[in-house]
Amino acid sequence: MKILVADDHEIIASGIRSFLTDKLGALEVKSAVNLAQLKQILAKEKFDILLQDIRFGNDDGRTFLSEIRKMHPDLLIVALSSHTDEFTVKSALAAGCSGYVSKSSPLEEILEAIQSITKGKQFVSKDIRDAMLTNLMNGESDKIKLTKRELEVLKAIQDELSTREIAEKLFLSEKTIEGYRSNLFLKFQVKNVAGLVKQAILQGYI
Amino acid sequence: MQKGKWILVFVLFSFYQITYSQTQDSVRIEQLFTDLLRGQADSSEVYKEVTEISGRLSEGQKINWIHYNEAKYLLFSGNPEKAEQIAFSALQSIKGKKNTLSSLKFYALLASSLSLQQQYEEAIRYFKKALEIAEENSMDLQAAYIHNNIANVFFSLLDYAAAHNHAAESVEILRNYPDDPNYPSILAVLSVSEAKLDQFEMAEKHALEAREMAGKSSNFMALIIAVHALGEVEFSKNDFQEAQRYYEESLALAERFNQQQFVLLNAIGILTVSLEQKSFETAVNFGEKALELAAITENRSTLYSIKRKLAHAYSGVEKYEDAFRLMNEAHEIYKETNKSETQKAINDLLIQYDTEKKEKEITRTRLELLAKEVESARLWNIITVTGILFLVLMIVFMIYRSVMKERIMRIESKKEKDMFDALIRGEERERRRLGHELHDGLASQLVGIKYRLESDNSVSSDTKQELLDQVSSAHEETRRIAHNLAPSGMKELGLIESLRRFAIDNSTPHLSIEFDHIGSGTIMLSAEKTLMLFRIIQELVQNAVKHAKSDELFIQTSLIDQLLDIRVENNGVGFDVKKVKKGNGLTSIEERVHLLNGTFSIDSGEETNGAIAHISIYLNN
Repeated sequence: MKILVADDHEIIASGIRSFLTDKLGALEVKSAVNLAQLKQILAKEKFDILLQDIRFGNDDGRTFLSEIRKMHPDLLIVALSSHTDEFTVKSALAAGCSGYVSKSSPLEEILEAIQSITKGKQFVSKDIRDAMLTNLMNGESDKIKLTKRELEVLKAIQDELSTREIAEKLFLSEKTIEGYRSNLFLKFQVKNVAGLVKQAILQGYI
Repeated sequence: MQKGKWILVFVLFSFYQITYSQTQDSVRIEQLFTDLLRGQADSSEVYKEVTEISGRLSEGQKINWIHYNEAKYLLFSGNPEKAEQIAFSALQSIKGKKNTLSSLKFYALLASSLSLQQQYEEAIRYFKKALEIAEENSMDLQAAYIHNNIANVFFSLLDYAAAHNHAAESVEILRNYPDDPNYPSILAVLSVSEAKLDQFEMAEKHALEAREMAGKSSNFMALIIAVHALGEVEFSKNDFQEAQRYYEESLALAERFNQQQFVLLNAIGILTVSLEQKSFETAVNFGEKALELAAITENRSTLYSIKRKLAHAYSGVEKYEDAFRLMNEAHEIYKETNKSETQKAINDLLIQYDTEKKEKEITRTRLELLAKEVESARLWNIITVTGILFLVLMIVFMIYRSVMKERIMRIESKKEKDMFDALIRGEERERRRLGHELHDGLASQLVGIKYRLESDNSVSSDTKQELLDQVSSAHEETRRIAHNLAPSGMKELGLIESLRRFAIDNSTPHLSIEFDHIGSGTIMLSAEKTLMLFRIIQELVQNAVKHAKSDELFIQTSLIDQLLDIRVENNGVGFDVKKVKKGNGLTSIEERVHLLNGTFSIDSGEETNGAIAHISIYLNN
């Protein structure tokens, strides 16, 4: 198996190289530190796997990966990046990467990724998967999120305090309380105090 | 200076001392009417004698001698209607009799009476007829007189250029007749027209010449006009004192020779110059005198002019009731006379009859008429509107001042904005550079170290794990800082997702940052503004953690009908908003929010925990 590591930081490339050589033994690992070198090497030799740094010096991996895939259709690409946000991950996968490994993750993940993609599966680092899951969970939660202050104001409204009384009680201005009140109406999708109290009770906030 | 003074037809028509066989009777008749005109004879006695003579005369003689002199007297004594009647019936009875001389006389007389009644169109028509007869028969002198009369009509129309043309024509002819008794008068008229056209030197020269000639020949009429002309010259030169002196001299002469129309003319002159000099008492005296005389002639335009000016004079001596009454009367006259019909007739007349006038001159006349109208309207308003005008001026001034102030402020604030903008941009660039450096340099180094450590089997696995944890956390921290300095994917993610990520990335076991967004729809903000807003929120969070020692933060955004509301709530140490606001990072935040056309407020208190920062931006702006 021939692996090419493309990272503009030699310290990273060599780290990965020595790790992989150490773990996989009979394996040829080369590295490239810029796009020109990468293209040159790929033109000369055939590789099985490309470990590609997304922020590759002044180049963005996502802009040239599809071109490389076209020229070398059999080459499997694993993105290697310290960016873990959903957008970067998705766009890297869309650009033709079969795997995405976070640089924060242990090196072992690179092995896992190589194993997965050579079996025809996709791979994404565990911490990224976890974060995405959390996001997904959060996004789909029906429960209305209330800030601490909103909760205080909500309770005061339930106690039938006027805006002025709430302001005095919380040592805040009436304007701020007004703002919270309209925010609460918005969140509970109600139009008046009665509706607000009813929904707050129904949904278990009070 | 107000130049458009209303002029009377002031050289009343040159005498037609036409040389025909002078009999005793004809001379006597002329003498009688001349005496009557000068106030040197009693009206009933004059008529008694005329009736006596009349018995001896033929029909033609009656017309030529009695009717002509009577009509002339009536005309001069301010009764143009009767003069017109007599002239008209005389023309009817001599019709077809080929008496060219009589026709000429009566046409001129008719035209003169018409022009005194402000029927300028008809007046010019009959003057032209008279002029035709004079020219056909090579009657140079008569042609000269008629030119002079036409000049007078144009004076009435305030067309000084046309008046000047005719006056010059008249003088040109009379140069060949230096002994003509009317020469100095006509020269004086030319002088007035020159004064009106600001040809001071010529005007003065001709007026002085006229005065000298008049003095030599004891021609009182010419003297009156010449002195008046000198007054006009000084008036045109804006030397009001000198002008007044001449007017007074001319007026005294006119009074001595009982030339009421010149008394009136000079009284108006004095009224006008007194107003210019703000000697309102004098203006009132002469204005009243002029009004009295003008009332007899019933010349509307003269009355109008005097009343307006007198009103001005009365307002000068603070007799506002009189001023107001006169203004009202003047306005009534104005309304009666300056109807559009009159205007149209004058315009038509100018086109139809004055063929020798160029198109340009006609246009100018119209313009002058228009200017006259505008001016009279303006004067009418003097009393009632002075106060309002003052108020309006004050308001305009105040508006102007506030506009200027606002403009200066706007320019200054724009300058400030631009500077601030540049500052932010510079800062942003610096942050980005630093962020990238951290990310590409330090963070990558740390990753490299981490990788090396992972593949290094020479250290014990416990130590290795400990070191790896430390390096990883250093890497995470570097990455977080780098990302906060140069947030990536802002454009793609938009404000809401960037904030959500910011909240997640910066939350630690010791710091909870929660983010929530209500509402739907895209936040239409440029990438630059999004970043600015993001920075502001970032700073609010940093302040809360650093200064207020908060460990619980809520970032809450809502977008309802293009109103973007952002609240950053913390649980830190409360503070008195009034005391802290100035000279704090909050001022910079406020400025930046203003740059985004938004409002910023912060609410907290010493007795309470935490603070609520509120940003509100209308995205339509």
